[in-house]
Amino acid sequence: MGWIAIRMLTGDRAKFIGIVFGLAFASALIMQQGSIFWGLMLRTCAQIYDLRGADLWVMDPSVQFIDDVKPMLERQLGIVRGVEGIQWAVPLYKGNARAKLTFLDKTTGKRVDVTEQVILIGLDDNSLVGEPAEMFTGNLLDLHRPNSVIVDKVGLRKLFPRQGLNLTKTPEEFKSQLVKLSRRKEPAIMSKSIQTNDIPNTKTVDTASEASPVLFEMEMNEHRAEVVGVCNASRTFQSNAVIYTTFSRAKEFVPRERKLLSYVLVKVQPGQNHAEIAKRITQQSGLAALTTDEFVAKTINYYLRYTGIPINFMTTVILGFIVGTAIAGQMFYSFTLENIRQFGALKAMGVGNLRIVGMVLLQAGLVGFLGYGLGVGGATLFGMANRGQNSELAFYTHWYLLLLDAGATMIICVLASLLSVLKVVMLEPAIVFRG
Amino acid sequence: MIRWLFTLLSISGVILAVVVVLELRKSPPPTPPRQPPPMPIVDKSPIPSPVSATGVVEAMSENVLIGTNIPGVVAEVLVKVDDTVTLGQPLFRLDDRQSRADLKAAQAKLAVAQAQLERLKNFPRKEDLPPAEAFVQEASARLADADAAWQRAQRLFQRGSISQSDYDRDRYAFSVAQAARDKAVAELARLKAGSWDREIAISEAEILSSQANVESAKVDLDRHTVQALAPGQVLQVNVRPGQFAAQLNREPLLVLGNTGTLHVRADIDEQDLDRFDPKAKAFAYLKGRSDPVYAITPYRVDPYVIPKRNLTGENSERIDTRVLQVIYTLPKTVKRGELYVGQQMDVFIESKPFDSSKSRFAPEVQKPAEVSSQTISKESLKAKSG
Repeated sequence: MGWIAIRMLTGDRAKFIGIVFGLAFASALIMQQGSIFWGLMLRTCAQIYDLRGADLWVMDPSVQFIDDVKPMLERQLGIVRGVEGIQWAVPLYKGNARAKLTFLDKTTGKRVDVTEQVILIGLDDNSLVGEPAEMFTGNLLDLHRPNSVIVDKVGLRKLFPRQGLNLTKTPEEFKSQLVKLSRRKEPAIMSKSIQTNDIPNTKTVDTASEASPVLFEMEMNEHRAEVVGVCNASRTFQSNAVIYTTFSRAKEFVPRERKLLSYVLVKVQPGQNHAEIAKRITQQSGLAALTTDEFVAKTINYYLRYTGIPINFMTTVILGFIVGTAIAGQMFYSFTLENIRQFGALKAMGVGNLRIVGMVLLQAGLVGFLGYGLGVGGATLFGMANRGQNSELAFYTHWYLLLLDAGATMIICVLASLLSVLKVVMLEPAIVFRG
Repeated sequence: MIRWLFTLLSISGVILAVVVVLELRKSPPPTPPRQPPPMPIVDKSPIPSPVSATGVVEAMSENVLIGTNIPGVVAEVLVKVDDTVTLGQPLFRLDDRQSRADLKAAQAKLAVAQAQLERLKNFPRKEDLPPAEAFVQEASARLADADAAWQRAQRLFQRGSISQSDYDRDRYAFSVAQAARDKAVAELARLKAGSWDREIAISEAEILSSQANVESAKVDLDRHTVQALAPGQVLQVNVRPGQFAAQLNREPLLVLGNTGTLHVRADIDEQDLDRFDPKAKAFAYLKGRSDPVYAITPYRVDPYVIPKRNLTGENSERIDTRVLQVIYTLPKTVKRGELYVGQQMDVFIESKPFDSSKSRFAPEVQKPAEVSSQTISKESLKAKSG
């Protein structure tokens, strides 16, 4: 009987394709919008995920999300360090700074002055806890050099606007691209050989062959910052350039402020319960201590509650749902009407209502599955095409979304087949014999 | 045909989606810190609920900031950085030409006074005596002459051979000669008696005064050379020949310290004082490092809580915290050049466990405000972080 149902379904090729595409459209829309929404949400906490190696984030209890920095007094670091069960605690500065730089325009050759808001991250001077996950070019340890900073690759486009910075090039080409843009003629000093008079019998000494050249210079808060490397950082929600430097230097790069300790990063001693330690930190210092996941949840919750982002996406998803239901329902109903004689014949042959309904549901389920598969497949392909560091599009498919999409498609199918089911149940077998 | 194609596409679509989702779930493993931050763990056993403090390495004698008594231009610096100096060793010399001249003047004045006294003491000059004696003889002779003349005049007057006026003249001439002789005798006696002791006393006082002036000039000269008042090592030299050394220099001219044993001066936050035990074991780390660790022993507690100094190095730290300074001794095994005076250290001091019932902070603060239906489940998020 199932086979007959399938034959019936694929009998009219145009209608079959129509139904499947209708469902595929709805499913793809839900999945794609959902993924973009989720991707956007993850961007809001990209910097929480980017920072690995610490177990707990300690912050002012009124912090609502990662960018809502409420700086603490630096002595809080000492108090947190004194909590039992902590392996280490290091400071982290996170804030906004204003970077100024000058370069020669690629086409006109004129001087361009850029002032750009940047996200400044100050890592613990020695341990560099919170370092960028991946260096694109340069050596992270160059941060120990005076005035040095590291910039994230995507953010460079904002620092060099309209210069057609090609992000897909190899590190070497990328470096020369930058050096050419900045006003320097030569990559600065670093690995130049120098003459030494002090040591006899040594003609030249390679001062720092490991050190990478300064790519370009910026100015932050009247202080010179030398960019010694480019890293790959996750894109952030505000999409400002992320600049990494050490904690003590970060304090020079921002205007005078009394409190400058944004977060304390804590590593819990192995074998200790994170929640227990977090509670202890709160008791001893009055600060909030959150795990990465808790902090992400807090950040996302903030965006869900206080921004219009979820409503906007929800609207699109609902629209996709309604359009999908409408197309599929209408198609399916007209398809059932077309095959009403066959159903009548089956009924006349003595096939029970349950069986007939089962056939309709099988058809619905089949097109539902096909539509769902095509939809998620298509959406995934779309996501894959737009993946990677360089993409503006935030796309992240959570596994929840696959199930949600499946559920939604199922509901569409059920709704779409509802009319048809009613129709065949009410069907008089005599219809076969009428005109 | 079309249904197989659709089926195939659909199944591969689902598979693709599942594969991608699973792959996205994987997150890169956490990177361990390159240089582990200081952790309160010694020999793999954690320090129980440590009190954390920031410390600065200082010399055993504390750091002696050398200044100058008198302002002036530096003429000569007699020590180098890292020299070991002994008690009283000159460190640097200010331009002292004026002082030297003053000393010479004072010394000359003393010599004058001394000569004066000498002269008074050796009075009378022996060459002065014979003329005086001769004067006496002369006066005696004149007296004898006048006496003879008056005797004669008496006799002659009784006989009426001379006038009253001649008689009188001789009589008075005798009196004059008598007085002249007396005067010469007195003069001689005075000469022989020597200087008046009051005058000697004055002269002696003058010498004392001059001597004092010389001493004062010497001290003044001496103070142009700054000396080490305690043995130690020269830690810093901020003074160069030609520089003007004022009494209120912003930086010390020289820093001395006895670096035989090093101390750590730890600043303990007043908030932690209830947990702080002055006798507890403590451990010091190089700032920001977890290795090496130094077991430090309590030396002394400065019993006066002072405003926190700018140890953490921010651009402007408004002080609203006071700290207790505790001094610890670093182990003797610390080699020269391993730690430097002035270096910052992270100090962890063992202490009583924190009594959570005494917490001023309710543990509820850490919970996100209130949980609404929109709250993302933690499990769903773990999916990403792995």
